[in-house]
Amino acid sequence: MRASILVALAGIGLSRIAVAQGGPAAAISDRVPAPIAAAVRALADSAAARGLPADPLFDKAIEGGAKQAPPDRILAAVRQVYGQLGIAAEGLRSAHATITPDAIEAGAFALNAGLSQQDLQRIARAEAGHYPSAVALRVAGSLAAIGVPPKDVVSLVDGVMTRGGPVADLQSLPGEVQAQAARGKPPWVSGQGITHGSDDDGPDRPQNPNRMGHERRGSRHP
Amino acid sequence: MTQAMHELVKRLLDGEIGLEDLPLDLQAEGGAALERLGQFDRAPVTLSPALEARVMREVRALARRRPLWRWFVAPVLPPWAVLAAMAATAVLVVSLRRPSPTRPAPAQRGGDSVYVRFVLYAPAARQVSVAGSFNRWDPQAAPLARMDGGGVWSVTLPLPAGQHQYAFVVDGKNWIPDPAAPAVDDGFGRRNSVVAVGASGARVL
Repeated sequence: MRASILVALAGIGLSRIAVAQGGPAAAISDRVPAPIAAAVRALADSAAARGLPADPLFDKAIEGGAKQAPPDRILAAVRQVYGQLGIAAEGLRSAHATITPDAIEAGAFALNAGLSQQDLQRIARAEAGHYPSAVALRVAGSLAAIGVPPKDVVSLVDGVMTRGGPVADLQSLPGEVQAQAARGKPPWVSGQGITHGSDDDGPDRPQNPNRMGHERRGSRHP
Repeated sequence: MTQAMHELVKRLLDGEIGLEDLPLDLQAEGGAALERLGQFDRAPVTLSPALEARVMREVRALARRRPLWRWFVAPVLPPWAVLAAMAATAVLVVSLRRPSPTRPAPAQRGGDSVYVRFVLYAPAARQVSVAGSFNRWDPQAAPLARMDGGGVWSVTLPLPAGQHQYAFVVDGKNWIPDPAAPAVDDGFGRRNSVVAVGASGARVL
């Protein structure tokens, strides 16, 4: 209870700081019609009072405005995010995981990618080990976004965490899954899980350049 | 210059079919398209000499200031002076984090920025940009440049660490996800691509 109150107070404080610094809350006025902006602000206040992060709501509204979505569609999308944030927070709470804005956002992302609240709870229990819930949930969401079925997402994430490797192993999971899938051996079909440090294909086959990514690993920002 | 591309060649570039699946009369075109993208993919990200010089100037200037800075935070200072320094630093950080109208505002806090190159093959497009949570979905903020007059468009952007969603905007109105990246429902009937940026670079997460 005390934790919830503290998170709620922190959320309200952060949302006010975001407005003061010209964050998404301040930007929304220029990007969506005034009635939509007002409705989103009301939802954001409600979110902050519940200890939910408000920025994802403003971000979604701004995205809708940029995509020239109809006002009712923008509001529906923002409400959907609001609902996902609430479900994610509840899932974390029932899994006895640490509830942070980042973990809630990660949970909402995983839900949007196709996972259920039960999946979230199973993954969030990873925190009992040394894996932050936010990282585990973002990994799970990314796996679902790649196309891994939800039950296999949980199994893959569980597999890495059971081995007890470093967090980096967990973070690299989506990339490894995508690489194996590109080689025609999706681990969620073979049921063999991810094989670290081995490649029985021999030297890497050249990949389809379009598949090699329209985003690229870059150099560190100076 | 724009050129029409056969639907099967597009499917080849999307990885849906192999080169051997193309009819014989299309295999040369398909091979050439793969080769073009392959060459582009291997092109290194290079920084301009002017940027490098500017960075080095700032690094040297920082190094020259360091002795004074060390003196400023040395423990011989009275407690009130340390508190004043912390307060001044907090103000400075807040003012630096205020978004500039000429640069995309960071979507997430903290961490390093990493250069990420966005590439799209769109031979029929007249203009392409990338919009996402890192530039507040502004379709004008990050235009891609057409490479060598061909169908490959590219831009390299510094992204703050964190997870980002984005989409390409073709001809100012068509929002399309990155065919090479994972995607999620955007809530508006389309899909957003997902990229994660960490200290070691961009990755699928």
